[in-house]
Amino acid sequence: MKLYGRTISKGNAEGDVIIEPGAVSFLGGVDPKEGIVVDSANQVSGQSIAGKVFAFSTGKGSTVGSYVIYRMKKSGTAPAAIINERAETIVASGAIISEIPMIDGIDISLMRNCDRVVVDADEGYVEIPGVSVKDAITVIVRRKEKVLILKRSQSVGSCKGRWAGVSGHVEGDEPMEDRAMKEIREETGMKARIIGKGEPILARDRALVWKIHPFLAEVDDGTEPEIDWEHSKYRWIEPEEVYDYNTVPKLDRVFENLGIL
Amino acid sequence: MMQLTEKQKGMLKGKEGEAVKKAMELITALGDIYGAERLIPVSSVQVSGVSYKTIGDAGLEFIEDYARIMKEEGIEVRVKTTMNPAGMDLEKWEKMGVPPEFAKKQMRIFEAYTSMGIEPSLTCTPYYFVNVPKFGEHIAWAESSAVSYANSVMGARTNREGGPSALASAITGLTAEYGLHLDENRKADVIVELDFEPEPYLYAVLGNHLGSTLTRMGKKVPYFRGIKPELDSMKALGAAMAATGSIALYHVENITPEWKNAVDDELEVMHIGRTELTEHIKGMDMGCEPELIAIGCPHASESELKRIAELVDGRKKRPDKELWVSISRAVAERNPDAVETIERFGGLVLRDTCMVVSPIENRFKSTGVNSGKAAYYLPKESFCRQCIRFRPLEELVMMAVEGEK
Repeated sequence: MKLYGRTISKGNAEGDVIIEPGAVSFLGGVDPKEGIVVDSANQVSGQSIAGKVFAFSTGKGSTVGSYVIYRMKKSGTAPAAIINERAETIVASGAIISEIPMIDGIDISLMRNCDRVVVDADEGYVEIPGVSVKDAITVIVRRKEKVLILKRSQSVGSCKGRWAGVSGHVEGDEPMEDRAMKEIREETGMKARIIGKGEPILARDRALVWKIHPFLAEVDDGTEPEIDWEHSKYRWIEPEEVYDYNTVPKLDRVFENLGIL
Repeated sequence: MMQLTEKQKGMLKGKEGEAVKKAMELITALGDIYGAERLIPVSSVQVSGVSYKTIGDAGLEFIEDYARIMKEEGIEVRVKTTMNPAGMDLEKWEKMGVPPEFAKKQMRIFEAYTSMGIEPSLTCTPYYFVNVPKFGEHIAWAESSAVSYANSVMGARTNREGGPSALASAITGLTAEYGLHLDENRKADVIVELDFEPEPYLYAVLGNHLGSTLTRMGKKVPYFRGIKPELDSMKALGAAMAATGSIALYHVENITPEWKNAVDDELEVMHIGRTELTEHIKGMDMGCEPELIAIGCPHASESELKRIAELVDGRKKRPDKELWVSISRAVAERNPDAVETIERFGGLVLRDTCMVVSPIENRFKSTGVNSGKAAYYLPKESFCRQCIRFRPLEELVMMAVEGEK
């Protein structure tokens, strides 16, 4: 799988990824002699970033942090590459003056610790060779002001007991919309019309990344679903109530991309 | 992505050498990060990252490497460039109690910067005589207090640059056009109203209080109403706001050069009363009996220097107290009498440095200050480890005088 971002500092590198969901301060937060994160606010505190592909949300702290990165590079304790969700001045400056490949605009939640990743900062992408992408659809069915969410049963393969939209894998070359219609029929038995489509969303699931294509469908007032074995319950909710439910990953993003949140 | 001119594209590709190429990579990457559409020329640069205490061996290594590349390629900075204070007075470092090892490394940093063609100004107040931008000029300055003064009091335009990005602007003469270079980002986003005129020392308190408060609220450009600060008070206010928060520009009604166009919409109004400020002092003042009285953060102005000279003229210093006054070389050269008066008293007039960026923790445990910026940095465990006494200038100076309370 390839993830495209923005080149901050050119170059290429390959290595095991180490992921920090929070912000990192290189001055005080990283021991440059050993290349170990020492900031207790970081999840990866105590771990070495030397020679790794270091993926974290963004930089913070003193601007001296840029020089700390340079010093690490010269003493061989620097990361092989840096991936940020959002670059800022300190880390970007450090990566550039130290010639460490760096890319931002990457959703780091799609990576897992110890994934082997290839960073091509000349072309601006990150490749995770061990992870493949599969297409799936998620349909949010609307009835007047409310939308349908379904609780996944104990018989399904993944995300048991979590709330989701109507969903399914795409098989072969079939058109996404056909798959969406088919799943609505199978999972709810309702007659619905597809009225909208959103930008795809990526979500990690073990060695796979699902590329979820969101659809918005509409049913007539008074229509009720008849659920099959895949679900144990359903509810019609106001879109903003989605935050109150334990949902499958990124269901809120599906709502956002469909423009209903 | 930014639009570059043919010449700029060439610089980025390395047509003008490796040093220029690296600098362009840095400036264009920052421009892309912050959504700039183009690069613009700057008329001057102030670089930070000079004190060995703040940048350490990591910074020393980078600066020496870069200076070597520039020397090999035969290039120097392209625009007027001045430098921040060092970790010691280059001449009086022994009197300050600076260890020789520190002094040696500090001199290496200084020499690397001067070899690049950077003026040996060694001050956080380049706007006194040395590097004086005009209204509306685009500049690329590091040193947060000078950034605030240049933007707010002088009406020049600069973002808050870091050490590497300021150096990159010095080498290329360019910066990316975003943030405070653009009109729309120089508008106020909050009004701060005072119903009394603060005494000069309360401006440092106001700044220390507001910097963190406004930054927490997500506000960037305050507009002050109801006050009439002198230049020295504005310096203190801006320095403190930039230290405890990320305020790089403020306006004062009827006073600062851009106040007339600063407020477009109806803005939230914040009221600050005298009690709020006197309450805030309790959090800044740790109440210690100071071993060192240190004035000049940012570096003292001519008027501040003369005021101190007046206070100590003909008096004797208490043997158990030290008095340090930090100023720029430029201010020292223009005021030899005031400097002499203070030194005759037994005070130490320091050029090139200040109590925040020099290793005072080797010698002192407690410091008396009137600066809202120093009050923020000096107590830090990882930095200066000082117990702070916060008092007005006159009171502080009198603490060091024999026969006074």
